[in-house]
Amino acid sequence: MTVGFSAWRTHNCSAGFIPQCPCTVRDVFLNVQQASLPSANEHNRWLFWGVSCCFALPAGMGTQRICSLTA
Amino acid sequence: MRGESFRLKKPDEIAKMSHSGEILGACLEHVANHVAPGVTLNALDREADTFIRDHGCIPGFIGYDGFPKSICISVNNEVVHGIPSERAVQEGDIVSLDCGLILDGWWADSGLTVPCGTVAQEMQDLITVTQEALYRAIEVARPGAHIGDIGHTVQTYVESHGYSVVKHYVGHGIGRDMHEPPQVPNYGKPGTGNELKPGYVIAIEPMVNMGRDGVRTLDDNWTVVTQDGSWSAYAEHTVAITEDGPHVLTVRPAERSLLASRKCAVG
Repeated sequence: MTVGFSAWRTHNCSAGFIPQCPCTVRDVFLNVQQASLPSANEHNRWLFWGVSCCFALPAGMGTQRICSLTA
Repeated sequence: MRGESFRLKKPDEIAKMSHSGEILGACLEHVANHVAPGVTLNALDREADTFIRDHGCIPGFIGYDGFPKSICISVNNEVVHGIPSERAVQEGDIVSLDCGLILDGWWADSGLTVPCGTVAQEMQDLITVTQEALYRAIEVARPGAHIGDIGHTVQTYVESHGYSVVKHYVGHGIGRDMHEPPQVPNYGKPGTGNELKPGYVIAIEPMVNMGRDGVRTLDDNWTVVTQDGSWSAYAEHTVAITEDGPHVLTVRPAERSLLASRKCAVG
């Protein structure tokens, strides 16, 4: 079962992933990494992937939610 | 991230994952053999669920983030995460089967796309290219290669045939949890991303659209379809990276000899 993907190109990113998020904060990744994880239910949990610049969400969650949480 | 942090798997752990993978490979072949005109998606789900339980395993998908069935079945323009229903497949459909199970705490995750009866040649070509993209990606998944090499291999092969790879969904690490780091995109640049080492176990899963790469999720919050309505195919294997190269843990009986001839360990 595949997982949703959202990625940002940050100053630490060497993977060259295509930026898909409208957020312009370059260190958004670090902000997310340090944020508390929403725990209302499994579907809303962040999936943090430990890769230098990437994290993924379950199906149905979009990049807009990421930005609103990390702004 | 769900569950434990990512860590390399030991040889004995890979051996255990091989057991779960072998059962999943047999399960998928069993379900694929039941795909025929008039068969409902729920009937295919029951075949998968029964097979898994009869072999002493736990169906992994049911209840995972609320997914209601034991297998994802995606038809035609559906890319992934289709929910089985009373819909009956029709002659000419292409049917993507994606299943996961747990044995002794170890996950296996795999899938394939099969034709229902006789399909148009262009649809058979789509299936063939998708499966071949997976095999080519597996061949490069060896120590010293990078995650980006896998994605690059998939993308260049798929796009050379005029198709597109889905970028919004990716493969993943797998082990005690179905979804572990790292992400395994179906696109990328050579030499980028994590360097593969013995002990990595990853699910490689090309998703290939006949048209453009855009996708959207239906109101059921699961079923992912192509934005342009074009048809889509998918293939997946759980692969362990060993000193000797890629070890396909979820090999299906019918593809064992083929994979063994392609620089891959199987079973």
